[in-house]
Amino acid sequence: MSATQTPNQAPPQRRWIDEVEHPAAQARARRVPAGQAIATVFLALTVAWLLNSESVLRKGEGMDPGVTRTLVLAAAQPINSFAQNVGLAAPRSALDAALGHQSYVASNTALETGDDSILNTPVAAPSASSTARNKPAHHQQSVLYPQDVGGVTKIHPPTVSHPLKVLVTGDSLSTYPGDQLANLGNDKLKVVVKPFNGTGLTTPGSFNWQVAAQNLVRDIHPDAVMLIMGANDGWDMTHDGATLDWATPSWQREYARRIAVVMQTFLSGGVDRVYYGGPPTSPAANYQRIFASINAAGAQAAAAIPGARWVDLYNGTSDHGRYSRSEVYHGQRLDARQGDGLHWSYDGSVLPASLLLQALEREYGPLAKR
Amino acid sequence: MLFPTIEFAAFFVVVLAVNWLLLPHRRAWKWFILAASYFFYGYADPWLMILLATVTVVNQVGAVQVARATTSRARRAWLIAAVSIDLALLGWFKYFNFFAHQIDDALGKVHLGAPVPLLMIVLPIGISFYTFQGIAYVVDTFRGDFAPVGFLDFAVFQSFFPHLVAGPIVRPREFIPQLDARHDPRAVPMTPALFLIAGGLFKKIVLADYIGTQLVDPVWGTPDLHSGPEVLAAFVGYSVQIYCDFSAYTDIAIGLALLLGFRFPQNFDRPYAASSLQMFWRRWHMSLSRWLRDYVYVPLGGNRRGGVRTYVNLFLTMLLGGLWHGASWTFVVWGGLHGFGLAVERWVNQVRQRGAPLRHETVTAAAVPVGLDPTQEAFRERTQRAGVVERSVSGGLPKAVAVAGTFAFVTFAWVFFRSPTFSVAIELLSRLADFGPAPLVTLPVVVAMAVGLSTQFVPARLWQEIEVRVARLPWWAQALLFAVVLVLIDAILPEQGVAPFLYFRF
Repeated sequence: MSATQTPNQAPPQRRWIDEVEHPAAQARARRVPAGQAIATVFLALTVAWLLNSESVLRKGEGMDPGVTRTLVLAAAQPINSFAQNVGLAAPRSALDAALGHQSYVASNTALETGDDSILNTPVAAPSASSTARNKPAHHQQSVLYPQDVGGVTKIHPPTVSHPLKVLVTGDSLSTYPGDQLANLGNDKLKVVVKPFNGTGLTTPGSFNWQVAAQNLVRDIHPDAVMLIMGANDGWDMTHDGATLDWATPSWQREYARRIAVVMQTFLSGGVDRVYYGGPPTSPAANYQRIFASINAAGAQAAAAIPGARWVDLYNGTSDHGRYSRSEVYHGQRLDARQGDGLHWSYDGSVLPASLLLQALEREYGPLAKR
Repeated sequence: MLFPTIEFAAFFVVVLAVNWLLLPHRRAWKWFILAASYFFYGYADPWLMILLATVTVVNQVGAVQVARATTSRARRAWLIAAVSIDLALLGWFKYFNFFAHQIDDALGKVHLGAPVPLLMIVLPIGISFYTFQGIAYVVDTFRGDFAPVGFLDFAVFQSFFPHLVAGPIVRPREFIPQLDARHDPRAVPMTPALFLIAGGLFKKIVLADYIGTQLVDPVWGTPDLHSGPEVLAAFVGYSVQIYCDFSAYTDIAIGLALLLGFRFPQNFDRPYAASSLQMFWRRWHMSLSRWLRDYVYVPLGGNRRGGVRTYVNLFLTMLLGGLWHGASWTFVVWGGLHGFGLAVERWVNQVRQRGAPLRHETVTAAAVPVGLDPTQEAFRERTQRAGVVERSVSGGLPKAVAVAGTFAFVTFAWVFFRSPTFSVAIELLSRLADFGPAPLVTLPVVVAMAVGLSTQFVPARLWQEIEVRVARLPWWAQALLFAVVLVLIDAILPEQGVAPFLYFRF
């Protein structure tokens, strides 16, 4: 500190970011009154909202239920209607088309509006060519095999020249297990990982998984799909105008119906098998309950859809359903979760990946690296 | 609350307006900005506010008691107490499970298997940043560089929302004097602020997230499934990604603060254009570099205790800097590599000095391992001197070679930084010799990487010219321009949405 400087004074020679990075700013560029700065920011955000009204609406619909979501939607819906009517949304639509963006929303899809008859009787997969199925020799409780009453697509054993193409998709939970599945697999297994972070089945208005399933099948042409999701679905759902409280029996049945619709969509597109893995155990009691309900819904959906399977990642990657931060894999203790306590860590994802691999191997034969 | 969200946009518009209304009424303004900052921080999890308040109280009490203590022993005791609590909190939240694992492994090796339980500890976002600011406050008070201020002022300094979550790490005497300085409501540097915010969003969403999702994440996720060229491209890609991601956050933070009438220190200055490691650390995460220099390197003895000790101090400082980033051996290795590199670079320069003594600037620079001397930050001074210093610390190599060599070393070190485990890093490095196709290295990915790297070499004058031209536009035209940029960025947003800023996890 210099002799003339007293404590708590800023260094006399200091220059700041707007002067350091922009030495011309002070001398040449105009500084503006605060009111003008506020007006500029406000106008910019308002215009951006008008030009982006549908995107804002989708983001609002994707928010967690609560006051913020209600407020955003209360503003976003009329603004979007206005912008659509006067053509302000057209530039953004043209931009999306030019960039080749796909839409992941749609209205009146079965995911949103269908009834639960899909859960009542097993439905034949439209592409089924045979009733044959490779029932596992050593059936384990961790993978639910329904009776596949309606028949399922015949499986062709993968080879090195024609490897099994598995799409691992879902919410952010699917990323590392997908990577580890690829790491565990041999040359007969080709894994494509395509997560959609922050999505779920309770908010189809912002991201419709039925539409996503159609797009994914069309673009990737997988032989099998691993759908791992549910982490963002701890919310009430609306169906037929009724609000279903989370983790209640009616909520669980509606959730199972939605999983079944997505499974069916994949299978209708020509996928041989769809494996659903729900979220793992949670350190929070309410989420523990929700995730148990989601997994039960997954089992219920898989039981109703021929060709669909439920892989029990909930019990399979925990201490029999009790939350544990660490797990043992091949004698090695792993810190199985990320800092948020929920997502599997990169190391820990070897646990769900090994279960997914086992599920695949039961039907497709050996796929693990030796 | 995250910056690129609807919630934050609404929050900021309200805060911006009320901020300028209340700024003439200092006390009311301080309470308002404190409440707004706590709301910002506790929006996702109100529990976080308690932690922030705890760190604030601990350091305020510590600083006041240090200032009041009449004996040096008492002053030291209060200092140690406050810093210990800070480090204990940081250790608990950030390092408990890491050390539990190490103890577990060690016990297992001597057949004393008694697993130390791993606890469900959620890392509070931003804790590394505001804990360091609190330590700086107490230590500056202890050194007599800064006198404790009132609780409200310190609480505002700690929690001011633009820098709260991921820096820059602001020093008390950089920010607290601004609280009572006159803020001219007729002179808001709006255009520079909007440039920083728009540029930050572009770097984050268009460059960093794209490179991350298309190249870096797939390669690191499945390390043994990629060819050498693809792995090499991912290494360079990660260098670009982490720069674009982290500098984006601080650019946005600095821009938001400017709109509110406050200034933060610069945090990045084209680091990949550095021609030596020493210069790299004067340009990368500068606020952390300064912190490490002043609160770790100097207390360790700096360069005052002889040559060998200086090398050791350099190495230890960077090792701790690595550990600060996360509880993993990969971060330690990353810090160790930089510490080793800095020490070697210093040794080479000293050997050269014996033959041809260097000028004063070089000696000064060599004595300061990381970061900038606050009194030397003036842009012109630095750029004028930079040529001399960079030539001297880069071993007399042609500048292009020195820049490329520095970039290669930094990129190599990032491999460990990015890798979740040591074995992944080794696996990736071993893949380099495996030639094969590189389907992930698409033209858009290459373009994104080139654009990200080019930001290091575009003359500052070009940006200034563009900015001045925009500043001459009427305010409404600037607003429309900013709106169009926001729409374009949102349109380019990847399907996966905006990824969390990489430095949130630190």
